[in-house]
Amino acid sequence: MRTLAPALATVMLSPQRQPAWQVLAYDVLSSGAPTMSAIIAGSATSAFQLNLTPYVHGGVTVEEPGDKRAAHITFTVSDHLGSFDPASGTYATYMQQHQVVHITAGDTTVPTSQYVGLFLGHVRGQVGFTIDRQALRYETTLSCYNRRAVPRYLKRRFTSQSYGNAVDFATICLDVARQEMSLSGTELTRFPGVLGQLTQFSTNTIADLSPLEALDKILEALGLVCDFDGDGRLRVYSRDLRRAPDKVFANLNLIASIEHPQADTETYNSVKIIGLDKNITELEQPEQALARATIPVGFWRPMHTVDVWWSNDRSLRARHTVLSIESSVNNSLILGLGTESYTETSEYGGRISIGIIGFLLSLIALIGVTLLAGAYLPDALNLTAVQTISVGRVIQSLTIQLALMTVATQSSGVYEVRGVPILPVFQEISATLTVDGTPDYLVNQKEITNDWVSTQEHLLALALVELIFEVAQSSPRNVSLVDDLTLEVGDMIQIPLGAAPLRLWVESLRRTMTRDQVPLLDITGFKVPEGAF
Amino acid sequence: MPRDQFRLLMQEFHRAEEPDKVGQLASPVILLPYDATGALMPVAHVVMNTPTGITLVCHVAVAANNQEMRHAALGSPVRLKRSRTGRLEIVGLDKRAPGTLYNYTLNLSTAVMTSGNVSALTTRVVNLGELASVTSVGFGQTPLAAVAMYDASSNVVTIVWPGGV
Repeated sequence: MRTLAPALATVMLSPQRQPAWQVLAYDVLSSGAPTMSAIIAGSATSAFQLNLTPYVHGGVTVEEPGDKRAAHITFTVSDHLGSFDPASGTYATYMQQHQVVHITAGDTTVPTSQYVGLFLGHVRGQVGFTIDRQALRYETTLSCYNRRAVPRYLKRRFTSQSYGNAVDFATICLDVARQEMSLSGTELTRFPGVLGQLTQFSTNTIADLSPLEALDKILEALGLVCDFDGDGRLRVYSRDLRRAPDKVFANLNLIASIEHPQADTETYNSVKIIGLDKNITELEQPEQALARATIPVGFWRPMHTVDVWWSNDRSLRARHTVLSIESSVNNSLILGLGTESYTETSEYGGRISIGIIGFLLSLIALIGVTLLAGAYLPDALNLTAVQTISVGRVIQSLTIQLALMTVATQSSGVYEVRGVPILPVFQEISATLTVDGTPDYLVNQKEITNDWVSTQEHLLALALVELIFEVAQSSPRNVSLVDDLTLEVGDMIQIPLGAAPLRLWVESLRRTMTRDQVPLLDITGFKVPEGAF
Repeated sequence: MPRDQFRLLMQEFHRAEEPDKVGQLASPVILLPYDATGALMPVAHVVMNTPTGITLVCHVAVAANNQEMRHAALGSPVRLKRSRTGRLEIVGLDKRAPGTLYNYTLNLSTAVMTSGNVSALTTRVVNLGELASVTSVGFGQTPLAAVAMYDASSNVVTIVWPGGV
């Protein structure tokens, strides 16, 4: 809803209104021309401004169709000199495509500086020019669309910087507006600095969207829509029909007509919102072999520890890992004294340790004892050959052979680590909200996919806003009233009508301003369901 | 342009621009005799989010250029492409998987929401402790490493592998 200057607001309430409007053209293409920001801030120099108001023929029609479509005006200017001939007229500079037209409205009793902006946009397409020698007429027709139709905003895709966790959506929107739409200062005064919804992931990037697509998608998550106001400033309006009306009419004095039009539009009675869960889901895949290792050990390396990883780049994660022994180190040892152990060191890998120290120490002890025992053994007497036999040395030499075998001992084990790999994925969450009592075969569902919605509560809140909004569209209304300069698309008005007041959400506006009469404002909107408020 | 015409157009537009669908592998990729001559086609079961809820789609063909899919593990998120006549094919691995669907109804006269069923289907290998209880027959009916679909309360909905129609 527009805010009027105090003097204009007072006049609007009085029965002595003397409506006035002006059409200003700005040259933004010439060298030294003012920027859009300067025009909107009111600081553009008059050298690049032309007041077309005296030359407007038949009035100006301002259409604001809403629903993310650009506001549009068409008007004709003429004089008897052909000054507005876009090819050679005195004011030809202003009659070119892309020049700016600003329409303001107010009252003759207040200064023009207090007029309120109803439209600011660019001349689009070829400017029409007619020379009619029979009617002695020079007419130039201009068609303009507001900033919602600026090609860069609509079409030039961009990829944003990355935003971290807990960043307010408004911060991102304002960055898009500043960096991708080159808006600044006054152009952003109507955009909220805080939207109250924070990012949920540690990294959030807008990729390959046009600025308006990006803004619409972020704001959609909050039930909001962005638009440009009559002064070219970026603003938002809410689709939440449960809010209080912006304007309450105490009586029908200013209402010219109310129509319930026949409409065969099939409206939605169910809404499905699909978002992205703020918690990353870790899918556990079937148990499988994660790593294999063949590990040798021997006398000279009795302990061997090997680190194994579940992937070469050490990025694969797994849980519940266990060691599977395919060939034990004890297969080639006696007594089974080799040791094998496994430790899961992290989610990315583990450590396999095998050792034969116990085996070797046992052998060395046995060798030592045997050698010592051999030394104490008395020699045996061979009476036939009259000689002694050194039994101890025989045993010692056999023991030394055993010792040499020990030194040459080698073994190896073959191991496999099995486990459950973890696959981190984004899990979709979705909610459907259907009008109670709707038969299944009559459900007409609207589906909204928005990755900026990340919790069940957020899904439901948005589904409620959207469903009430969609259901309301089954009750369109056309209302004509004495022009109210405060009303904008997205406003909600309340009109006393019968037993229950009519709450109307303003979807589109149309006003034709001519001279010496109070214009009528035609509103197309829809009735807010009673249960919604 | 009248609003209803515009909306119809927009619906058509969104239909044409409908993005690929996401799903989740509910079985290994196998070679299935696919036509009358027995020509083999790599296929897999997929769980996907449809307007009527989360649904199991059996024997979805894998696109020809996706050898990576042959080794895709159970539970992997996959991207699906729908032909204009409604046939699905798996075109590759993905990063997002269908998840929980909450169903609510709205009483318009009171603006009160009522919670309905929660639809959340997950598929995983039936663990050893569950093998005896997934069917009334007990041990022996369900093979080791069978895959089952579970609802939001972790109850088995159906055995999806081996088998599937």
